[in-house]
Amino acid sequence: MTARRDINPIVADWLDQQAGRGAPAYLDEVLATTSRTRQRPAWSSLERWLPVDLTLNQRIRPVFPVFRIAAVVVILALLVTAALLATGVGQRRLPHFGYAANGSLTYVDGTTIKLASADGKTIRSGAAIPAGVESLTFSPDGTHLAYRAPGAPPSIVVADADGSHARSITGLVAAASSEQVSVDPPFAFAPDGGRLAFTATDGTLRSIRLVGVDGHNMSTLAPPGLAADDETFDPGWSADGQWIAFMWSQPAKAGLMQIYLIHPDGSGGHVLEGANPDPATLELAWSPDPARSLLAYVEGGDASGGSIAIRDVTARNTFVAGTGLWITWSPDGKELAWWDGRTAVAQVADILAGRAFQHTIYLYPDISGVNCAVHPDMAGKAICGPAQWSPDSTLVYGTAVGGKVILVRRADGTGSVQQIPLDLPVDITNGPNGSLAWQAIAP
Amino acid sequence: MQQDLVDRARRGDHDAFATLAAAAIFRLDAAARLILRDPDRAKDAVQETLVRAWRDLPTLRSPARFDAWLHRLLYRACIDESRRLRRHRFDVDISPIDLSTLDDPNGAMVDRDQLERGFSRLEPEARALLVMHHYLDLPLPEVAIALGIPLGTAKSRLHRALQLMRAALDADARPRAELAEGRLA
Repeated sequence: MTARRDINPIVADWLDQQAGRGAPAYLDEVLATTSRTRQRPAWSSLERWLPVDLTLNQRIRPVFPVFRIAAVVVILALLVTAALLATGVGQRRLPHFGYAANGSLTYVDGTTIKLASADGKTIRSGAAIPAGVESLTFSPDGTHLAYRAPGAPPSIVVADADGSHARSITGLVAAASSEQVSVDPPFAFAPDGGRLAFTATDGTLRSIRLVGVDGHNMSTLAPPGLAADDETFDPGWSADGQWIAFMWSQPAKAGLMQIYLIHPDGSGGHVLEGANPDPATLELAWSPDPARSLLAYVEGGDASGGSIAIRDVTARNTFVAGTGLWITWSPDGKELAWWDGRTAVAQVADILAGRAFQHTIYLYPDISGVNCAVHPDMAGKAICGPAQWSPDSTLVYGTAVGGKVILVRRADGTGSVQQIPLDLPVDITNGPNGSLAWQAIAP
Repeated sequence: MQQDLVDRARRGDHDAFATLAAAAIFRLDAAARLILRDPDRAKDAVQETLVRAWRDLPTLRSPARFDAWLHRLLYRACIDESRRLRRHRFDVDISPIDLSTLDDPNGAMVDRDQLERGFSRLEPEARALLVMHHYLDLPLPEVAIALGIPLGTAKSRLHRALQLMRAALDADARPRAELAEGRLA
């Protein structure tokens, strides 16, 4: 009976008989076709890049599931990456540091505003300005430029980014109210760019004023009990727009210097708690992080710096970061840089947690006690001013002594100092404080 | 020797590929004819297999796997052809059974017809499995790779295909035995 026979050899023999013998006659035809066929490059095959076990050998050896899962995860990650790249994730990426990431280098050239391209090589003339303009300051969104115009008294002018459509906002105030005020930098734009805080001198009183960029709605912020010979100056606007901090000097009280906080509407004024009332309080700087009201300031010390503290205005805690001066926040508010003979960079989270992690990067040589701006041997080798931050918070940079080179280094201290030549016809040493402003955002 | 040829062919040496193709075309053609039961379709499948082999050879990572890879290409080409064939299937009249074959004293001719009938009733995938295992003598794991199925699935499918072949033989054997015993006619 067939059913009792082993079917395997029967099938094998039958297949062998069916297959016949002799090569088919179409080999030449096939080879003619292949000779005209272009081969695919090796890299074009997905199988080429997959583990062998995922392609041909997957059924010969059992594959440990972890490897298979890992391979699938890698493939998915690659696909997601490719999809993100294809859909333009680059548009959401923080701009790279460098000339191209920034807007115009704007500077005063006699009686003209000059705008250098991001690479410093293309320079065009902006609006005409009076001689003696200084303290160029860009609004946070880069669309407006404020500067101090000379005159009797000096005034604040707000213009478009190229210097056009200039209007003297304190002049407008004077015209409307007969109030003559002289202004002093720094000018602090509100986070929304709609108002400016500045120091005004009216007679002998130096006070803090707020004014809309259209010249309207000027108001005065003053601590209660402000004496005639007191001075308030250096206003800074918190990133959330809720607070304005400024210095309050009281000569009648042995030069007592305090930091005063007040809401822009004039309410909630109080002396900053936790700070030492020290005549040598030097500077203050708000964190750019609107989620947390952190105010860094330098108190005590001398021209080489003092104690650098961070005050959490909301939590009412004060933390000491180190010693030095020229404090600058990273744009993301996570790091703080200052000069302590070199440049120190500290993680703010570490500071707030009571950890002391920080590192020093050598944008400055050890020239403490020396006016580096007039130190000719430092030309091109050291920056002489606050360290600036790249928009993505990864780099610190500054204009070197001599004003012809920007020095850049990674904020984490790795890598070497890079030099970027500036092809500008002016010496921009101390630029941010004077005749040059770097538009951090190209509108 | 073959690996050297594969290496050369991967780098674009068409003569090396011609040598490989000449060595493989007989078994490819035979296997394709067995799977597709149609010489013209088989020719198309083998041509497709060899053209794809030449085109994609640079992407083959392991020259030692050339034969297994070629079998896989052949299987895919045969399945593609069989699907095309299904789309253009037409009905034909079935010829009446030639009872003269019943005169075959050993039953060999009858077995061949029964096997042919049983084999034709199998799906192309099952035919391919039998051809690769029983004609090309590929070990079952290699067959599973060529067919792109798990080894366990290959085993069960092979078992079922052989059962169907055995059933075809048994079914056809019953009338023959009954005829011999005078119960039919």
